[in-house]
Amino acid sequence: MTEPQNDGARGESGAEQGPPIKGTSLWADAGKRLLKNRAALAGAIIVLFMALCAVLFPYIQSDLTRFRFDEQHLSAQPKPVGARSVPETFFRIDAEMKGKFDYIDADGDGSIDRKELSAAMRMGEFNTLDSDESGYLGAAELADAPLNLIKDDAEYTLKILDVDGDGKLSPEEAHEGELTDIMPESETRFFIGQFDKDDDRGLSAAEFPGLPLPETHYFGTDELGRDLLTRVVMGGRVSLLVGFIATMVSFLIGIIWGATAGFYGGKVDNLMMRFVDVMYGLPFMFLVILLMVIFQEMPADKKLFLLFMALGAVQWLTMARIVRGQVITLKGREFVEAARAIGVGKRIIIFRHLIPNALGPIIVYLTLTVPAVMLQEAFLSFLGLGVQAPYASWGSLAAEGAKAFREYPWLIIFPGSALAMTLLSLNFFGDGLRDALDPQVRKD
Amino acid sequence: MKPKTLPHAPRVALTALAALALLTAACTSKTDGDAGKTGEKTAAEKAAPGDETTAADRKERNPRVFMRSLGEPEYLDPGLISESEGGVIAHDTFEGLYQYGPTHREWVPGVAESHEVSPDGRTWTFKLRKNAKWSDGKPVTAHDFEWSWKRVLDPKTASRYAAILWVIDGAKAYNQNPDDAKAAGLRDAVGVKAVDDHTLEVKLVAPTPYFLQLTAFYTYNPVPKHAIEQHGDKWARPENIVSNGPWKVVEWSSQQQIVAELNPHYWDKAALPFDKIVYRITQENGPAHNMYLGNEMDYLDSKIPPAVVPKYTRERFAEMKTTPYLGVYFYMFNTQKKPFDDVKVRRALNLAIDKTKIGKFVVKGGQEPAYNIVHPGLAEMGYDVPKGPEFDPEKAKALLAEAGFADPSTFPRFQISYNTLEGHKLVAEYIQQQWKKNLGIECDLDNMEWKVLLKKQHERDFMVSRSSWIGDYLDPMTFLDLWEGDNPNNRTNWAHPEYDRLITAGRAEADPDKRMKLLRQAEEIFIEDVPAFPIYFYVKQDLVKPWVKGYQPHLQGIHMSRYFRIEL
Amino acid sequence: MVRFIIRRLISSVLVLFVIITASFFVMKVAPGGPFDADRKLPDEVKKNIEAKYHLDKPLWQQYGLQMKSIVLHGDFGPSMKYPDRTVNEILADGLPVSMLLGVQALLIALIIGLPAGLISGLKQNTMTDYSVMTGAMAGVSIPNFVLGPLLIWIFAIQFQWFDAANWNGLSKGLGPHIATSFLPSLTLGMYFAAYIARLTRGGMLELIRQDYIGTARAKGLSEKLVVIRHALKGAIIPVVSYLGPAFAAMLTGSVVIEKIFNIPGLGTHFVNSAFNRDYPLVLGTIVLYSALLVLLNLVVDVLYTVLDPRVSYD
Repeated sequence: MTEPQNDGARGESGAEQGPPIKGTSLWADAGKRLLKNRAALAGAIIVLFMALCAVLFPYIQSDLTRFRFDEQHLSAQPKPVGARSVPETFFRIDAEMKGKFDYIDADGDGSIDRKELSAAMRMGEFNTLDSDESGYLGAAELADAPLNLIKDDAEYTLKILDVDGDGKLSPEEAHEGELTDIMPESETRFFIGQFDKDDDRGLSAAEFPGLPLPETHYFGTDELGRDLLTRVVMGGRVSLLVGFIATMVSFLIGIIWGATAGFYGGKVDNLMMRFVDVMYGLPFMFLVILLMVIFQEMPADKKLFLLFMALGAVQWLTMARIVRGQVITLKGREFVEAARAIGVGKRIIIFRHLIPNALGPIIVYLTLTVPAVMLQEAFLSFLGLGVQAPYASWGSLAAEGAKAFREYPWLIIFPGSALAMTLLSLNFFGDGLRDALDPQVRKD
Repeated sequence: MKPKTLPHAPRVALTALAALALLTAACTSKTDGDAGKTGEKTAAEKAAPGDETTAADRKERNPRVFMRSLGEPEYLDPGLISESEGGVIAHDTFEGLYQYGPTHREWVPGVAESHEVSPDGRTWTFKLRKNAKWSDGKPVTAHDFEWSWKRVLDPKTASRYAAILWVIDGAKAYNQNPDDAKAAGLRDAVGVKAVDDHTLEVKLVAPTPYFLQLTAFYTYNPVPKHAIEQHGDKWARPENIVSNGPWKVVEWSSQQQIVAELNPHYWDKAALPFDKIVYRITQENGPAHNMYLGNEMDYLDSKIPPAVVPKYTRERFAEMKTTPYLGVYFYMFNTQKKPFDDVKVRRALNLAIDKTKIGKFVVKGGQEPAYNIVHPGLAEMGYDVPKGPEFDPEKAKALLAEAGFADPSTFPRFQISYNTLEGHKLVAEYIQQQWKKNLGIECDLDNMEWKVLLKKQHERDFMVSRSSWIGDYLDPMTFLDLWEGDNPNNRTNWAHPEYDRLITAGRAEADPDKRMKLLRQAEEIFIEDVPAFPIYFYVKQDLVKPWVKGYQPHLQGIHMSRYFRIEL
Repeated sequence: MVRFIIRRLISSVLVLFVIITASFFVMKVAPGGPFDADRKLPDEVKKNIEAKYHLDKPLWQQYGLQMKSIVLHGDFGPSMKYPDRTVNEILADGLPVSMLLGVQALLIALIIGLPAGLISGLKQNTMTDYSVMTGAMAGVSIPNFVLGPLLIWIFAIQFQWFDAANWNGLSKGLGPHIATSFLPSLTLGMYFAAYIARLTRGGMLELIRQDYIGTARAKGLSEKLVVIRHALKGAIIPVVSYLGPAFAAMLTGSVVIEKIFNIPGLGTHFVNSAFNRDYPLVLGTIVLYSALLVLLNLVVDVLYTVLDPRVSYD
């Protein structure tokens, strides 16, 4: 399917070439070569892993992070990496605490109300932080705690939060400083409601199942206290979908357009490429607003589909140009003349001979299109045409994080790294694929 | 020079990225080391909260130059300005009959020396000072005011804020007149008249206790007839502008800075603290904040990036001033669309939102939760601010059941429409969650571009949508006439005859106490009927350098340069 | 060749005409108008304002007026957002800044991208190749709204080599100009540097195994000469064809950069005019932008024929 088939035309190059090979064996050959390329292989594995996470998102949410992507654990500042909250829906229960009923029921009225539950969780968290069990938090313990102050050093935090100036934090001061409030009263309603069979807004000893277990925000939380890990996984779903589908759209349109224009040349070429020029001349922003106008009333899921189309429609222009450029250079080659001479049809020449030969640069461009599309998706989300809140993509998460990256670096580091890593992997994989498809590379 | 603000988390993570950038920058870095200004500017980046500003920083300052932040204004013609950026400039460079004081409680005589009000409250006579002059030395007279106000009202001038002059007798009729033939007659009928060079008589439609405040508003500023006749539409460009305020604009580098210098003919120039004002223009808060930290600005006028606010609050950063601001953020219902035509549904949705969390945890500026629509700061004006119901999820559920939605899943799915902006998105997401959590109601967020949202609101093509209102003057009326059935800015389709009657009665009432009572009754109806539910009252957050004195809270957020001083 | 250029110029005018026309009408379809504000204007006042800008006239008349003004006087009229400034003035203010930023970014992109790609292509599958390509990959993988603040943080705040924001311009001297413009140019150029590196490497690899390179090698030309004479020339072709769109993308990309670095260029108007529905300014920016593009593409096509003699347009 690639150059080796036309060995007649290339005989004089003197390159070592095997006998003409069938398409299938070429691809099998390519597969073998791909497996040998470690960078490409690693790339493929990472992309597959990301895709797997995206597919398994519902299970990750319920069984791994245990936070729903949209549940909010509000705090004055986004919670940093390692902070804990009590999940609203997918919580686990520490049944051992059932025995501590009397202790938790501070006012002794036989029922644990919201205030008492919140206080118990708070105390539990304080004890977790208080590793030397002194009843106070000192600088050393603060250094290990997930903190969220701009100056990320314990001394400074201590100075800010230590109201009475005794050099250590009491449980009250820690609470005031938002270090321990992992289940504020407003978040207890759901938990109590679920076990409160007699509907008296409190849990009796019989109803009380034990305390819920706090879960860790491994990536911290966003501005509204939503678990960032869960959101990054969810964002991956959207980003990968956008990246691949939009690239496919651009690939299909671009290759047909470019190859046709380049091959026929003359008036057809001129007309087709002027059209591309016109499209280039329409600034991207403009296209976006145009779409906003026309598809104003669309439901959210259709808008997402529109997004794929819009991004693909923008990208095909460059694709068409590159294909055309390749075709024009290749057209002059001898093997095309040869094919024509023996009476092969134009269409066959385009699709059997020219396109496969132009594949190298096209794959390079494709691998570069996926990141470009993902980035543009971020730009679009930023403008309000992208994913609708509370959904998010890596791009939109990173765009939000970029605004506050000095204060809350995790907001950009995690979605940004996920995005960058995926793009990097895709690129390595694309490169590997190209090298594998082109057997000539081996000899260099 | 070693920065103290270096959290270790980013340091680790950014090292890899930094390495790449370092590689590319290494070659050029040396040539830039001597780039004069660089060191001086960024030196102050370290002046993060808590750090002492070095003595050197202060010595280099000329205390007679004041640098403050601004967004790019549309234009500088006070009669045409319709946005706050232009307003800031107009307040410093033009002067009305009266002018804003250092706080919202004071009004300072400007071109007028004194005024008298007739017993019916409808005729105001202003005595103008004789030494008021334009920046080209020509005297400012009562005729200038008459001409300027009529110019704003002239339909051909097409001033966007002309409606604020409609309290003047005959103003509305002239401003709305489409017929050229009638124009001259209507113009003469407008109730503003220069009795002589230094006496201005104004007749109002109704007793308007806040008219004195209005005379300080930029639309009421005098404009120089002679300069306008000479330069036409371009008269307010820096090369042509003639103004009568303390300073005069001399330079406008688009998107960079506007510079105003002392008006040599200003009547009170000896009292002015600065020879020069530099307005640093930025579009975004991030760069503005960087410039402030870099000592390129003395005063950052509300352009603080939202992300740093909680940090500054928590660290009790003394340079940050948080003051109440005369505005309210609210959500509107389209009261003619089902199910929001049912007042019980509207009440339930309002009750199901815990507004106390919003100021601290969602918008994060310490905004007060709003349970009514008139800003509570107006209690100072003698208004007995009513308070609406607070968060009550149980009652909300009960109301929803009464409205026929005992099973919340039968509630029709609807959209919250808001425009693309981080703050709006956070509030929308919070409210969406609150309704889901407290009522079991699902809704979608519909985020759109600003002009699209406006169009939808103007065409009543929405279910629930965000909006806000900033008061123009210190009187409850500025928040209440908004909800009259025929007010173009009431986009809820809500028209309540009794409400309209009370507002009309309040407008005609000359007795202040009775007037305030009528207005309060009206607001109670609003609270009862919930055509819109208030969410929070605005606060204004400014950063003021320690060497800048004279900053005082102002409910309308007007901080004129003349009230600041620099003491190094 | 001359005939080709003339033909292209004529068709370019046609293209521009189509773009102006399409933009004009599409713009009018967009919901909302320039004078819609949070506070709805009284209808009469709005009518007066619209009359002032001829917005009360039928659409085709508005189009006629606009076209007449553009074609006869090259004048886009006054801006609707900034009424005492004309669109021409606004564009004249912003264009030099954006162009300078773009040119600097392109230079940086070429200075970094071309050598990196060449080295990488020559030393294919070596450690050098891998590290350069990984760097290039990182370059295209980091969004500029992330890279910008990052560079500010490192070079303006930590090392204090450059300014964090603003634009001094060349009139204030080279030193101050570089102090404000290096970081934004680098931020803008990085993506393209990475892109160019990849394209160069790709082109090199394609070319290196072409017939004539083999022939050249067989003739006994030294490896260095082969690279300079043939491979380099061939490798540049994809880069050249990319330069047109790259410059265009840079103009758009500068929107973000100009915001981050507070630079008074065109990018701001490009986005804001659309959001403000400032029709004349929208049209002005689009026409300017399109004209630049059409011109650049023409230049690229001409370069193409020069670089690859087998491509001919006659």
